[in-house]
Amino acid sequence: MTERHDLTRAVLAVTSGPACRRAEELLARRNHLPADDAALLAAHLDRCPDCRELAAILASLPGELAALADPPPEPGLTAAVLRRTLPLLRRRRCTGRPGVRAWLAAWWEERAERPTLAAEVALVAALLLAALGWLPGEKLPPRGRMTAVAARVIAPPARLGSLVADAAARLGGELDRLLDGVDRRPAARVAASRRAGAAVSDTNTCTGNTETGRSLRHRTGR
Amino acid sequence: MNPRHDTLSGLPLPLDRLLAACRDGDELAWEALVRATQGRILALARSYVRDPDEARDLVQEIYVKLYRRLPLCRDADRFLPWLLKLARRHCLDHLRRRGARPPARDIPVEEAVGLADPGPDPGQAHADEERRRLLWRALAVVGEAEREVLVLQEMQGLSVARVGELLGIPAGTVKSRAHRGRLQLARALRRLLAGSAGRGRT
Repeated sequence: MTERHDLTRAVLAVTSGPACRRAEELLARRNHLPADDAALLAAHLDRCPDCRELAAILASLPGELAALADPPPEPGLTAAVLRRTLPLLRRRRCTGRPGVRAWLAAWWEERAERPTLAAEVALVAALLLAALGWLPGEKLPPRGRMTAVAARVIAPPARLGSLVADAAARLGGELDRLLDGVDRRPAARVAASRRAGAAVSDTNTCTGNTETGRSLRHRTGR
Repeated sequence: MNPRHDTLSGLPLPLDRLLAACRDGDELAWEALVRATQGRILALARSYVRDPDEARDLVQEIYVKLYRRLPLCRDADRFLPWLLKLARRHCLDHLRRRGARPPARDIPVEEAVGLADPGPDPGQAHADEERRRLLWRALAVVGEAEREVLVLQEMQGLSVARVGELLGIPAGTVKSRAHRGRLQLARALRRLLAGSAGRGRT
């Protein structure tokens, strides 16, 4: 019998490896096994003392773990708890039945302890800020125009001159305010330059906007 | 103690009346409630902190918190899961404040075997007490997520659904964690037993 058992081990060692790991996995859910697995496990347990020991430990765990929640009386623990909580009880005795205030205090204490509270507060704050930021909406250009301006701002520099002229002609004074510091020419002049075609004249450099002038020189290769 | 029950035993009054009396500030009712629940709360605290004194301190803080929040618990049927949830959250907050993790990940079984026993000579100690100590040490090396499920399901007797609700995970996850946890615990216990038997021989 022992020789046969050793032979089995030797064969397993050069083929699948020891079967104990698989047996242990089945042992952990022994009460919910399909019939075939249960039969295979029982056959393994007949011959494997290590797994039999593990099976015995697993079988004893529920009772032993439950017993941990029913420990022998801890000397002084009840007295210590009562000492800590006595002031609360006396206060309750004086104030009588807990009212809405006590309920609200307990409710808030419990809410404040939630792990997601920080994220929730941040979300509410962000929503509030967004609402406050969008309330004076009349002062901002409508969303469609904002999108058009944004599309032009991120456009390639090579087309910037004509795009600015085009946008300025359409948006008029409003865009002039938005581009304050970039190009202070009157909208009419921009429109005129647009009509003159893509060749925005070198007079750009005379407006004091050297940055625009440089980019245009670069564009035209001058 | 019935290992599967998830209700409190040994109460002098039905739980709903006991809770109402506690809310009104009745010291006797509060004492009865503390006596009926402190074993469970101590066991839960010990599954998060290894030091028994630290666990005792945690238990006291949990009861202070429990008393303040009693007005929130109107449903006696849900009292025990609610109390365990409160206690668990307090233990996790304590660990976070302390800046430490439960020792499960820090102490491999091999080291745990070599730890000096804090109690009296094992040869003179009662067999149950020794077994209990070994079980705590084996629990300390089980993964944190699996240990929480084991503590709530096997130790506290909560149903799979209640454990899932308390931890915020699906029932299937509770079951798979319980399987893994049981296996980890049994392996750790087997190694601890082999280690203590080895020490006994030498």
